Amino acid sequence: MTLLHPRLAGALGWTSLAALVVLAMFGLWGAPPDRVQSDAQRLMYLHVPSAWIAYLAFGVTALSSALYLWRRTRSPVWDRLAGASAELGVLFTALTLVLGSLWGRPVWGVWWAWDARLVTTAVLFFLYVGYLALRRVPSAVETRAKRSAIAALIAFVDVPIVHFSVNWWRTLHQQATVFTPSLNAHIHGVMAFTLWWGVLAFTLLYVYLLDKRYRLEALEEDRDARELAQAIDERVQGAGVAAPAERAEVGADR
Amino acid sequence: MRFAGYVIGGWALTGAVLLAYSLRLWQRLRRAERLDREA
Amino acid sequence: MSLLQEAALVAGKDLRIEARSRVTAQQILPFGLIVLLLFAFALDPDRGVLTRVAPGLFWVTVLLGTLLAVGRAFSIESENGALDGLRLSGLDGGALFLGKAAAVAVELLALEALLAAGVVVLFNVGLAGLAPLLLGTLAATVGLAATGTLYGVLAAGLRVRETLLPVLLLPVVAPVLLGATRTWEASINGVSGDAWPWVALLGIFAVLFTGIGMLAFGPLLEES
Repeated sequence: MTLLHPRLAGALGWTSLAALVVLAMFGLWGAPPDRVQSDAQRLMYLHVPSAWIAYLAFGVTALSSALYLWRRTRSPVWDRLAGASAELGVLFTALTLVLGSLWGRPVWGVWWAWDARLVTTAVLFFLYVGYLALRRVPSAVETRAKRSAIAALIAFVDVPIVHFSVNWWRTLHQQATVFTPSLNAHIHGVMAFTLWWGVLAFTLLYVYLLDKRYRLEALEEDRDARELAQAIDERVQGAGVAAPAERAEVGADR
Repeated sequence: MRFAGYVIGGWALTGAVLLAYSLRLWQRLRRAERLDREA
Repeated sequence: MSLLQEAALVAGKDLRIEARSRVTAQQILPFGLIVLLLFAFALDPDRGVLTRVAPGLFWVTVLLGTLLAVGRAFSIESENGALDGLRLSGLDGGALFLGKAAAVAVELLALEALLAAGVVVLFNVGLAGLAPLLLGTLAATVGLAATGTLYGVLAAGLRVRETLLPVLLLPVVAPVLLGATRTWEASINGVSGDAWPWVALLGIFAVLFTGIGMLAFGPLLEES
């Protein structure tokens, strides 16, 4: 009922904490201030990793959803993974938006701007907030799983559409620093190191939280199934009807 | 540090949010495991 | 029966129900006009603001109307086990989808015609560049109807359908709002050339979500 071996998960937790502390040291002190943006640029070391982890998380959700929908690989594991990862995705997207706002205010003079990147990210946030709302509607596990999987895949498809369409506006958000068309990164030295370290630290944290959230999802699903079986039993016994000779194993899937 | 308010504020907020989420997650997990054991 | 014949059957049923109950005509169309009126109250009618933002207001109103039309399309199935009737009818899932989406599209077109008149009269807009305007509007309507019907069945039968549908549907159709508004602006301002890329986007969106809807409607109907 976990993605990782418990001891590995524990080690991962501590490692990610250490990595984040190191990130703070470099981000707030070790890395030099930017020539143009001065210290405001230090928020990049949180904002960019946060955004990439959000994309990673939603990618995991989309892949898991697809694997659930495809009959040959259908398993509750994928549904639970999709739900767990989506929650993390929403968390990191929200963080990305807020950090971007805090970074934008001193540098652009505004808390928000209507450009392609920002709008797409905001739509992304709402798409998956809706997905999480859909998952919370009480229903049979398989029904909810199928519905959510379709919603997740549509959301994943819609994001490039939104980005593609909104991109026809002028952009205020800076062009890509790392994944430029020629893959020639514009960032070097300690700043580059700190940025990649940030991505590493956030990834470790994401995997750790995903493992925990997945376990929570599995436990809660099992409990719901158990309580439903109990409720049915009580109803059956209360009515004085003989209990069924066989009862399907509940919570057997992991 | 220039723009210290924004920078420190952003880093502090990030730390607080991640910590709060983790604490809540651990709390929910502990409860779920307890209910699982009692069953 | 072929796919299109089955779809026509379903669309005909939905539109006949509308003809008898007159819910779209007596509730959704007035709702659209009321929203236009509210916009006029909220914004300054004297300084040409309304004229400039009319395309955006028009399409936001259509979007809100879509929520009502889709909600209605599925609430008519909630009585007398009609949803079960659809499941057992043996009709192809894709045909059911096309039929229901077509009925919603027809209702939306009626709403749009009325709102266009409203916008011309109340907001002092001069409609021009009709080719991209009409094609773009048609594509946008198909996109809205298809996506709405898809999310309608996804939320069908849930007690929280009315509050869940907007939260699910509106972010997904954001590109339609964008494309349709830009199309109208370009057409009205006489730069039809600028409108065509947006019409293309709307067309792609419509085709994509019609396809997804045809694939997913049957399985989703079984599960709800």
